[in-house]
Amino acid sequence: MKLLELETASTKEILKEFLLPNDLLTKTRLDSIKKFQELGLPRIKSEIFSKTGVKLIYQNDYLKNKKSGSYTNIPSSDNYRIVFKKGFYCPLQSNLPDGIKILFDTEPIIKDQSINPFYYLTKALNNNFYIIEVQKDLNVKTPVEIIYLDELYKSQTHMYITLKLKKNAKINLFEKVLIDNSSFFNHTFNVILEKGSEITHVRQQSAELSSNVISNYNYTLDKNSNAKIYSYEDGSDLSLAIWDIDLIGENADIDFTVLQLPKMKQKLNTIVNIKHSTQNARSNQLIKQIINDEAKGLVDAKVIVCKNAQGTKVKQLCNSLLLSDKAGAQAYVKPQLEIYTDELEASHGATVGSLSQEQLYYLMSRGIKEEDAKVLLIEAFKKEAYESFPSWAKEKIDEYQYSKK
Amino acid sequence: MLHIKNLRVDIEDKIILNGLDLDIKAGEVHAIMGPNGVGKSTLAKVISAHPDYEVKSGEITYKNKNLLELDVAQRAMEGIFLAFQNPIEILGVNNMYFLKQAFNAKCKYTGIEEMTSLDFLKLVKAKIKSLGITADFLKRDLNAGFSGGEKKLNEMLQMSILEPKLFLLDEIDSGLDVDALKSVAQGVNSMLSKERSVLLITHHKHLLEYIKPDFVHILYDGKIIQSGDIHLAKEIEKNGYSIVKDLRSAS
Repeated sequence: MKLLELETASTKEILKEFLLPNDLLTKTRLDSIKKFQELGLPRIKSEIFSKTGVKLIYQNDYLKNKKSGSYTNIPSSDNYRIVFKKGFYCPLQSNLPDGIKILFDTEPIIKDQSINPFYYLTKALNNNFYIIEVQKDLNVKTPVEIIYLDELYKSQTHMYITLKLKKNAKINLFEKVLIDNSSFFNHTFNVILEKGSEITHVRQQSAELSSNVISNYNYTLDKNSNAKIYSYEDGSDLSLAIWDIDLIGENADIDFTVLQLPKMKQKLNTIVNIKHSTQNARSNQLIKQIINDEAKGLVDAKVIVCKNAQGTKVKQLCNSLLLSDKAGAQAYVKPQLEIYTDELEASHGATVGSLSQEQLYYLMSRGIKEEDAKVLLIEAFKKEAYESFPSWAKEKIDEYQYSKK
Repeated sequence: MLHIKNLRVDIEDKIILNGLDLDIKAGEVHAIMGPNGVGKSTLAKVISAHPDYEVKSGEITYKNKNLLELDVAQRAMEGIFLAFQNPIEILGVNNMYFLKQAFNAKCKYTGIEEMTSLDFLKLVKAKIKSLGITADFLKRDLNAGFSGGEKKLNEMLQMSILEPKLFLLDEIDSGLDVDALKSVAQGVNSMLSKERSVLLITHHKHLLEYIKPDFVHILYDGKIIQSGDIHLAKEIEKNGYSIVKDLRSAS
């Protein structure tokens, strides 16, 4: 079924097409279909989505939903692991430590104010609502991988997962989007950080170039909680990652780092909204994009500091490097601060540029060939963001990059 | 070693060098002097193929090769080294890693086996010791946050590791105090030999007290209007560049 057809199809047709269970959550699904159909797919007039290129996938004819298929073997790992294939949890390929459990979520959190129609699609069309719970005071240093797989030709998958870290829990999360074969993957990932909990969340979006990925992240940080988020994006034909991050507790702290690397005709989009709802919270965003060939990269980053959020510290920096002079190549960067309080420290900035000819000349004047000098400068541009990634993730991403060469 | 004949160079349609001739033989030290804006730095940059400068006519041959057919990196690998007046800062490129890249590029070009990382580290440590540089230089990003003196010493370090044949020293005395100037000059002098030549660009005779030139040339109006020895530099020091006008009107 095409996404466009979902706008007008009857709920009965949709439930049948997606083989959705008739259970206690059917009403939630039906309400979500209604909400999606009210909002409709984003059109050119939609301020947030207009430049993302997302409308290009509305007409893709995804084949009827299937539940099984053959899947690529996942390389073995010393990490803990949660594997989802086509939206279904695979316990046999998963491995979790004591204190972390995955359950069917019978009372999924609802975010009815969202204006994001793709979020409602995940709520309506997921196979199961899942919740991953990390018990109070648990401290797991070994990374927990969450792997999404789908290599059924031209299929579409919608997922809805909530991760809850209870009080003072600490985990390292490595989320890998490895979608394949012209498929469409649309998922919501809610992360709830209770008081004093800490997460280091690395996201690697390395889907195959024929596929399309939409990710809807909703983060809620309570008092003294801490999130370090690192997103590495080089996959899919079109990807849209929407991060809504709400700092609701005092002294909540977030570092948000994105490395976006579109090439060929890829369209990679990052939309991030960080809301400081209470006092003394800190957010630090660093977003770097390197655009090659005829690719497009969009960064729409907004920080909202509410009236009662005194003592807020905000830092926001977006840097874009345009490597191509082809007509289609485009960097669109929109950093924004919306401040409703007087007492805060805030800074933001954005740069868009190409490789410095003077730096290139300097390196070449020492005998380094032009192509090698360019690689040095590109790596230097990435360094500030990439070096901050935790080593356990960087090792794997380096291996992955090497395997692509 | 280097022959320049009737060189004309433009930048953005403005003529900078016009009819410049210069011959530098192996082992010679040449100093180019002249007032601001006469094209001294342009000459150094043109020899190293800076992309902003367009050679409109004339010839530059280096070791009997047509230099104008080689790009920046090829010229460097042939042994031409420009020590910059104000070396650019490159954040994110580690100094040691950069040195190794440049050294490996030279090894590859000349067909010499690359050094192991350990041997290269030993080589670099010996070089920094002789230049009086501290080891933290190697950990820092290339010229990033370096003082004027540190930048010049870093140029000397690169030069001592890459062992070029023709040094183009573009106002390496600018922004240096006496002690830093002595260190830099000492670095240059320690590398001089019968196979190596120097083209030294400066405003002042001061630098020439530390690096002794065999020839001094006055550049004006895009060409060399007088050549001599150190006495010419002394005359400039004494009378200023006003003699240039006299020379110009006499010619």
